[in-house]
Amino acid sequence: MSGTGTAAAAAILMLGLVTGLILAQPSLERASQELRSAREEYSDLTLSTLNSGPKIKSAVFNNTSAVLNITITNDGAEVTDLDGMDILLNGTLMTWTPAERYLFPDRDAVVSFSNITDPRSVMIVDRFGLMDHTEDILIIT
Amino acid sequence: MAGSAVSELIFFIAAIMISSAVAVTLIDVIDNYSESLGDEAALLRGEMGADMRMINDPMYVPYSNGTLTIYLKNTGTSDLSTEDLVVSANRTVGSGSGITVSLMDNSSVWSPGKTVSVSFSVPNLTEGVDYHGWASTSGLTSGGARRGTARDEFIFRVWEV
Repeated sequence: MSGTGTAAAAAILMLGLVTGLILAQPSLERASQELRSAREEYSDLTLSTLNSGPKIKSAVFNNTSAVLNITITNDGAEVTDLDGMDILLNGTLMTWTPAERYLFPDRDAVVSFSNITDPRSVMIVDRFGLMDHTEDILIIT
Repeated sequence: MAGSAVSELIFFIAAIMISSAVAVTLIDVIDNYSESLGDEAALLRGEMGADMRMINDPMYVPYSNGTLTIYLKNTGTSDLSTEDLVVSANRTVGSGSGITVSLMDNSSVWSPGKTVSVSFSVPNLTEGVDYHGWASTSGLTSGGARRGTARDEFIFRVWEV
C-alpha cells in the first residue's frame, strides 16, 4: 500500500468526522442554550422565593369604627410586589388595592379594611404562595 | 502493480464507507443528545411554568349552604387553564360545569400571581372536622397549548359564612 493511499484514506475519515460535527453542532448548541436559559430561570425563581419575606407585623381592630388595620412588613431581601399579594380575613379573600405597589425590605405597609365585624384570622399570601398568618388581633375600643 | 492498484481501490472504498458510517453515527449521537437536552429544558420549564397553591386559611375555608369556596393562586411563570381545573374536597370531585370559577381581578386569563375563586357543591361538611382537598389543572404555553400540570392539596376545616 502506498503512502498516498493511506493519506487519502485518513483525509476522507477526517472529512467524515468534520462533516458530522458541522452538521450536528447547531442543534446541539441550540439545545444547550435552551437548557442553560431554563436553568437560569429556575435558579432566579428559587432565589426570589427564598429571599421573599412578607410578614404580618400587627393587626389592630377598632371596635368603634369597625376598621381593621393590618401592618405588613417585608422581612426578606427582595422587593415584594403588593399587587400580587392576597389578604384573607376570616378565611375570605378580600378585595384591596395597595397604596404603593412595591414594598421594600424592612419597610411596612398598612392596609385598612372598613365595616369589619368580628375579625378572627388574618392571612397574607405573596406572589410565590408564601404565607403568613395571625389570630393575634389587637382589639381597641 | 495491478494487484496494488486493486488493493488501493478497495482500501479507498473501505475508507469512504467507514467515513460515512462514522459521520452518520456521530450525527445520530449528537442529535439524540440534543433532543434529550431539549426535553430536559422543556421539563424544567413545565415544572416552573405550571404551579399553583391552595391559599385558603386552612382553619376558615368558606362554606355556605353546601357550597365550598377555595382560592387557588398561580405561583408559576405561565398561564394556567381554568377549563382543565379539577377540584376535590372530602372525596367530592368537581370540574367543568360543576364548578364556578371566578378570576379575582375580572381578567380573562389566569396569569402568574393571580388568584381564582372556585365554588362547588360539597354536601354535609361540618365545622371542627378535618377534611382533605386537592386541585389540579394544566399549564398553558404562550400559544395556548397545554404544558405541564399544577397540583396542590391541603387539610382544612370549614367556616360557615
